[in-house]
Amino acid sequence: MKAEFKRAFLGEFRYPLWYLGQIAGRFVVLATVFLGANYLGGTTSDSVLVTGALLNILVLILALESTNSVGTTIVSETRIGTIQQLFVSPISFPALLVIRDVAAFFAQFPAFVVQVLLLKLVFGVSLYVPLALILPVLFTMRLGMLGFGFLFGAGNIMFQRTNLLNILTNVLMLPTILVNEGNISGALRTVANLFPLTKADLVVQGVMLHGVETAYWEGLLRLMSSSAVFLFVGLAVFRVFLKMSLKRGLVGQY
Amino acid sequence: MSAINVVDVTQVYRPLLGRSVQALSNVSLSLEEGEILTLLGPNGAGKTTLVKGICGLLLPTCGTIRIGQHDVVDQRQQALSRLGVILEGNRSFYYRLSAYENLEYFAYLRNYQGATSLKLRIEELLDFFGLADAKFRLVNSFSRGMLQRLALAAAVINEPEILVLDEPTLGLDVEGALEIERLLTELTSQGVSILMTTHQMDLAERISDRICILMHGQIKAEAPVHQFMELFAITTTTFLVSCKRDNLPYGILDGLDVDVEEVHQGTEIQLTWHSSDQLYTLVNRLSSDGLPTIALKSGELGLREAYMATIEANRESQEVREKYSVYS
Repeated sequence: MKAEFKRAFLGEFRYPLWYLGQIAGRFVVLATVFLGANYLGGTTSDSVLVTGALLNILVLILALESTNSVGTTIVSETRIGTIQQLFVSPISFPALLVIRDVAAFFAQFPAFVVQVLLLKLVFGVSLYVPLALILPVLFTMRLGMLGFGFLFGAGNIMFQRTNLLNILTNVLMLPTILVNEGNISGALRTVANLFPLTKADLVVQGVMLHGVETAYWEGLLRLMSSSAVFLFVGLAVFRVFLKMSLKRGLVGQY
Repeated sequence: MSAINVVDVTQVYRPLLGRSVQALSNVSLSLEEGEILTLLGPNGAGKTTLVKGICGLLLPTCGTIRIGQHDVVDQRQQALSRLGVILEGNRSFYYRLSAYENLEYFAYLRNYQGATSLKLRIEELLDFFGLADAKFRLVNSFSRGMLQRLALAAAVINEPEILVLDEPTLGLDVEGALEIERLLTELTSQGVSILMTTHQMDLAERISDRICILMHGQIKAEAPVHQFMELFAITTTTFLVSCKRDNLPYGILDGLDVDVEEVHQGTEIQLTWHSSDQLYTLVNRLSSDGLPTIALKSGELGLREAYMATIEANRESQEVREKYSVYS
């Protein structure tokens, strides 16, 4: 755990320009959404809706990083040649991937806070930032989405080069963040509501937009249940595929 | 108890597309404590497959692999905790981390619980492997030799009792290979058991206690190095005679197994004799026929020749294969 934290933080902060560039890049996306919405809808017309959309994007970014982390780790470690070293560790590979994502989350969380503060400072959006409430929500969501990521990891370790499927899924997940705005209905709404991302987004919006804590614990509990199911299923499927991959001698091949 | 015990392991690769390939067939071998066992064999013989199986990177189709008393498949955690591994040599590191940070990471990954503090252990290893001056340098600036030494340092970070090395000198220059050889010898003197694969016969000959030749996924020969060499310890004697082939009185070679070869544009003949018997008979016959010997060379076959003889024998016929199976 300690080693993964150190590695994750070194990865984020060893090259400060890259880190700042990442924050700047995301801020440009957020600014574009904010300014575009204001330009089309008129200033202050639906400021809560626009700010909610910005939050949606930030939460989605955190979720996607988790969803992609298993597949990305497998591909990148295979490319640089370190994957076999991870496999010969007494720590199991799935456990290592979970630890790695947890470490990555804490390394990336400061960037999330910076982006929120930038939104407040630059555009004067009204956002509450109670970190003690936000952090557990986002962390739980990350674990749930990591479970979803394990499904793609299973594909990666068995079939290799399924990155394109990952990207496609990222795009398909975009609508899920609109569910809470009431813009999605029907089957897609039902499916989207299953995801920890949607549940976390609802709680984060309640806390950060409205400063409401009344539904917080209920929302967190739902999120935890959903995340636990996703993580359990993801890990179970991944373990099965991993075993098949080890039998077929596919580990380390790309 | 053996450090590694491989029993009747068969490995069949079943790709999702294409036909299955049997990489290992009923392979059994053991690595005894404190010894160096070298796996030799041509490319595709199954050496790396066997090594991967021992490291738990492959689940054997059938058979068992134990490290100490722990099964690699069923007791993976306990089995692997005794192991240090080099599989991809210079491709085993995070290039954006320094040598120190890489070793620190691998120590945690291997659950380091040594007597000395980790910091001290890393510094000790960097010193031992001649990397103390480069400890804070990012690994992406390391030469191949340095990476190989760092790989060895990473493999022994958790003070393993067993080292599994897949071609530890691959791509190294002569000096680098000799350095690795020296380090391996030092490690065995500290009681570490080593299983390695290599294509470098001179390295295998110098440092191995036993060698095992794999071919087509089967063990073709397994014996202590000296015993294996004794099997092929035939003295080869070469005579260089000043005579044209047509003028050679072939009668003097009657009853002797001698290879005749023209050399130096046919002005001389080289007689190669694979025996030390009747040496004087041949010398006397040559001199009595007025054919003075210009040069005489004598030597024993090395591991390279012994290895090649085994490989060729196995390629040629099943009968010859059986001849050497006394060592299987």
